[in-house]
Amino acid sequence: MNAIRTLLWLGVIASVVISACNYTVGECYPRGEGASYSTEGVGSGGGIIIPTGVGGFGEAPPKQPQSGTSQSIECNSDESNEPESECNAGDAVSDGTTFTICTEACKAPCETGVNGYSASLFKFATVVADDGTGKAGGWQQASVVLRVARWTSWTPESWSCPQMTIGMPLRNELQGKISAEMAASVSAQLATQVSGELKDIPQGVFCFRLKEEMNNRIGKIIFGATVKSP
Amino acid sequence: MGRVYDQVYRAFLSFCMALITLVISTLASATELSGGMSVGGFQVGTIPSLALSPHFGASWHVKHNLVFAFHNLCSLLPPLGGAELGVFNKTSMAIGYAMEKATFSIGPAFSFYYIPACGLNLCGRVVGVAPGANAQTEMYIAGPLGISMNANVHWVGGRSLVLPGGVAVMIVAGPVFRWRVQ
Repeated sequence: MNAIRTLLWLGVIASVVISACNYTVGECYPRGEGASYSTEGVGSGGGIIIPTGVGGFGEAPPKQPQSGTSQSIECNSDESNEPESECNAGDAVSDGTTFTICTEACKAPCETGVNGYSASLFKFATVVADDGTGKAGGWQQASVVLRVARWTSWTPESWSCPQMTIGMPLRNELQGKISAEMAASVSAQLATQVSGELKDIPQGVFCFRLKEEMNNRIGKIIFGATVKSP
Repeated sequence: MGRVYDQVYRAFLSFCMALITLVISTLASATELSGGMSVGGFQVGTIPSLALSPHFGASWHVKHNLVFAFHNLCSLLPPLGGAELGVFNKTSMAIGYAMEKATFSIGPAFSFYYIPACGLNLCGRVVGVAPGANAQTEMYIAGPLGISMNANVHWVGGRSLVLPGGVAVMIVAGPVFRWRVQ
């Protein structure tokens, strides 16, 4: 009797140890912000060279939908992100569209290709032409979807951030004419730098922080530049 | 998402079936039954909580003072600061030492939980199952009436980004009443 009972207990123990798991039900929200999804900036410093002096801010961009307060937050890791094999980079990384985060235990995905965002990902187009008057003028913008792959364990993650729009003037007083190539280069460097600084942030808040931090900093690099959703 | 729910559902269902089978088959042969109500603290993630924990258990004398014990403690986590009610149900199987007026047991445990929680970055409601360990002591001070203290720790983890990994710790104490069957 005792032997049967003990075996039964052991069976229960074995079954539950194997089955340990959890899941977030419904919505989640950043800690300390209550159930409302605040868009307050995070306000950390930047490492990119910041020009000094006063510059024009260019013309205002056309009115666009502002959805910064409705950005959804991932509450559970995506099952589709499970790797097919351990530490296998696959085809989705190192091509300039994905920022790849690696650790010592899994370095292979970061050793080849472009480990960061390529300038070619940011295709700036003129929205408002520069009429040549005033200290600043014109407006250009690019919409991008930034992807991240994090290989910090044997269960790597990968995700795509909601589309964001980067806008900046075609000309301002301090930097003069701002070409599409320059705009793309600055945007790629900034996105890569900020992503690197956020490499330990959970994917549920990564995109939110990335957009906020880029928006905080880009105006200090190119006066008048903004990052918005979408 | 469905697969995770399936895992939780299957684990919980298998646990419930095993638990029901065990309770029915073993209560009849138990040498001692006990039950009571405890109060204490519970912490998972970054937010501590009060725990109100009704519990019941059964034990069998194996040899001399050695006992085999089953214990279930259902902790209700009252809403604090605008949160919602949470439930953390723990079942444990233990080997213990029993004297005339005191018992001590320790062993593995398993929990099913449905709780509001905050991790380092996110807050939300999390459902899951967690294995762990449990220690319990009971001291009988007036006949069948005594005081029990229960401490347990569970490994919490899974797909939830609110509680992706960590431990849940609970310590509760309160009155307990026992019935000796044999």
